[in-house]
Amino acid sequence: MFTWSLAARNLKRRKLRTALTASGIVVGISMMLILLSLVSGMEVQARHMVRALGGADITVSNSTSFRGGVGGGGFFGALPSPSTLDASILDVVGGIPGVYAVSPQFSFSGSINGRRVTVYGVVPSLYEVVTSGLNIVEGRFLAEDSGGEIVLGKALMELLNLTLGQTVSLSVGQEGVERNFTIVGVFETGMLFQEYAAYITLSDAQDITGERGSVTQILVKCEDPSVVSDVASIISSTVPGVRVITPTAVLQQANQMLNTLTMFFATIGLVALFAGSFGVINTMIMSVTERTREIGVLKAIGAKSRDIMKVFLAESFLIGLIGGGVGVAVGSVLAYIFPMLTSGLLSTGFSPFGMRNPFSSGRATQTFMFATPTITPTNIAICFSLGALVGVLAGLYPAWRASRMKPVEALRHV
Amino acid sequence: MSKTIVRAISLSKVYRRGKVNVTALNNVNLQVLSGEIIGIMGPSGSGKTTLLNLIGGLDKPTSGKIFVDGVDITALGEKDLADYRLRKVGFVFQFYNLIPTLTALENVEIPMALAGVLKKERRERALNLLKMVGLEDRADHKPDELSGGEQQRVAIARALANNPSIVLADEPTGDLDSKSALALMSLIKDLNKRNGQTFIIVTHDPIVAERCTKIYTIRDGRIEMA
Repeated sequence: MFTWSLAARNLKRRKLRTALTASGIVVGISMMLILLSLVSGMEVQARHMVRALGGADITVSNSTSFRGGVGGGGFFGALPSPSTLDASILDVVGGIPGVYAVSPQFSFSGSINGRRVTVYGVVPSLYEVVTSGLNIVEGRFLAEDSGGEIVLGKALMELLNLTLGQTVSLSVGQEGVERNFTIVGVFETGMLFQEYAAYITLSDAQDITGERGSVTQILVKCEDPSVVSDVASIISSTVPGVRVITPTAVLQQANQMLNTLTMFFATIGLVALFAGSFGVINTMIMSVTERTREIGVLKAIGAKSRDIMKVFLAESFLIGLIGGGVGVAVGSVLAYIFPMLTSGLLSTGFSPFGMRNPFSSGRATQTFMFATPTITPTNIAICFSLGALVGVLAGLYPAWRASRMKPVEALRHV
Repeated sequence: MSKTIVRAISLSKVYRRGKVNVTALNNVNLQVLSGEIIGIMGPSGSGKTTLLNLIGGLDKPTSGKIFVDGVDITALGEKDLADYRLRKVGFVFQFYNLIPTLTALENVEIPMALAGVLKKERRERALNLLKMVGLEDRADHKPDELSGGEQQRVAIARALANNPSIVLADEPTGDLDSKSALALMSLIKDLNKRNGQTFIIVTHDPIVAERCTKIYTIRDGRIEMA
C-alpha cells in the first residue's frame, strides 16, 4: 500500500529530523529496558538466594539474634555469632505434626588461616535430608561422625589458594581456640558471598566453641509444602523465644518488593517516554503543516479522511518503531555495561562474608540492589511495542488534524 | 447526439472574507455534453476555479445543484464525495502537484491504490498510462527529475488512472512553455478522441482555447458562452 511508502519516504527525506525525533523515544525506551532488566536480574538473584537458603522449609533460631562476645563478628568479616537455643527444643519441634525431619545447626563466626568466615556445624545425614544437601563440586560432603573434616566454599578455596585434602586451621574468638581440619569437599552456590563459608560436624562446632548441648538454628523439613505456614505458626506459638523464618515467605516478600520496584521504575521510564512523545507530536504537526498542499492533492484525487489519517499515523508509528528498535539496542548495550560501571561499588559488597539469611542483612540487600541486569525476551517485547505504541498515540492528534483539512483550503496553501 | 454529463443549475457560491461576503459565482447554469472539451476563460478572480472545484466535488455551493451522470453531487456526504472524486473525475493542476517523494509510476498508481486495485494490476495500468502520455522511460523518475511538461503529463496520467468520465484541469499550461503547452493539448485532444473523456479546462492560454470544442467566459461570477 502506498501509505507505507509515503510514510517511510517522508521520514527518509528528513533524516536528521527523524533521527532527532526518534531519539526522544530512544531515551525513554532504553531507560525502560535497563530498569526492567535490572528488576529481572534481581528476580533471578532472589530466586538463587532462596534456593541457596538451604532448601529447608523452616528455619528456627533464637529470637535475640546475636550473642555478644563470642566470635566478635567484625565489620568486614563474618556475621556476629547467633544466639543459641537449647538442643532440647529439637525434640519439641520434631514432634510437631506435619514435620518430616529436623536438622540442628550450630553456626558461628570463626577464621580459617586468618580469614573470617561463617562456620556451620551440622549433622551430615540430617542436613542432607532436610536441605537436600550442598552442591558439592569437588570431593564429598562430611562423613557422619567424622570429626576433623571440613567442607569449604569454592570462592573461599580460591581466595585462600587451597586444594582438596589440605589441612587448614580454624580458630574461634580472640582467645584463639584453634583446631586443624582436613578439606574433604568443595561446594558451590553461584552466589559469591555464600561461598565464604565452611561446614564441619555439629560436635566439632560445639567442641570448638565450648557450647555443648546447644544449637543456633533448627532447620525443619515439612511433610508437604502446603503445611509449611501452619507448622511455622505452631512452632512460634508453642516454642518460646524463637524466630521462625520460612524461605517461601521471604521469596514472597522479595517478590512484593520487586513488584513495587517494577512499578516505580516503569513510572520513571513512562515519564521519559511521555516527554519523548511530545517531540513526536511536534514533528508530526510540523510535517502535517508542511504537507498541507500534498494533503489537498491527495484529497482532490479521491483520498478519504481515513486514508490521510493512515498516512500520518504510519509515519509516527515508524518513528516509534525506529525509536523502540534503537532504544532496545542502546538499552541492551547499557545494561551489558552496567555491571562494569558499578563493579567499583560491588567490590566492597563482595568482601568475604557468609550468611544464611541474606535478607536480614543490610549488606546483602546492597548486593541485591546491584543485581546484574537480565534482558529477557519479554522485556524486549514490552519496550519495543511500547515505542511503537507511543509513536501511534503521539501521531493521533496530528493525523486527525491532517485528515480534517478541507481540500480546497489545503490546495490553496503554498 | 451525446448525452449530458454535467448539468449545473443556478449555482451560487458566496465566500466570507472576514466581514465581507464575496460572490464568486452568481446563478450559473451550465450544461456539458459527454465527450466535449470545454474551455472556461475569464479574468483572475472571476470564479473559474470555484466552478471547477464545485464540479470536482472539492467544495460545496452556497446554493444550486450539480448533476453529474444524473446524480446530484451537492447532496453527497463527505465519504461519497471522496469516492466521486476518486472514480468519476480526474484533476490536473497548474503546478502539477505530484507527490515529491514518489516516482512518476507511483504517482500514477495512487488513485488506483486508493480505489483498492491490486499491486500487480495497478503497476501494469500505470505503465500503460505513462506510455500513453509518452513517458514510459521516465517511470522511475521522481518529480524533481522531470521537466514541467513531463510532470504535467504524469499528472494527466494520474488523472486518468481510474478511467474517470470527466477530467478537470485548472490552468494546465499555465506553467509551461508554448511547445510543451502544444504537446499537452494534442495529448488531451488525442485522449478525448480515443477514450471519449470529457475535459473541462480553466485557462488563459489561447493555445488551449483554440483547441476546445466550446468556450465559456466567466465575468463577475456570471457565465456566458463565448
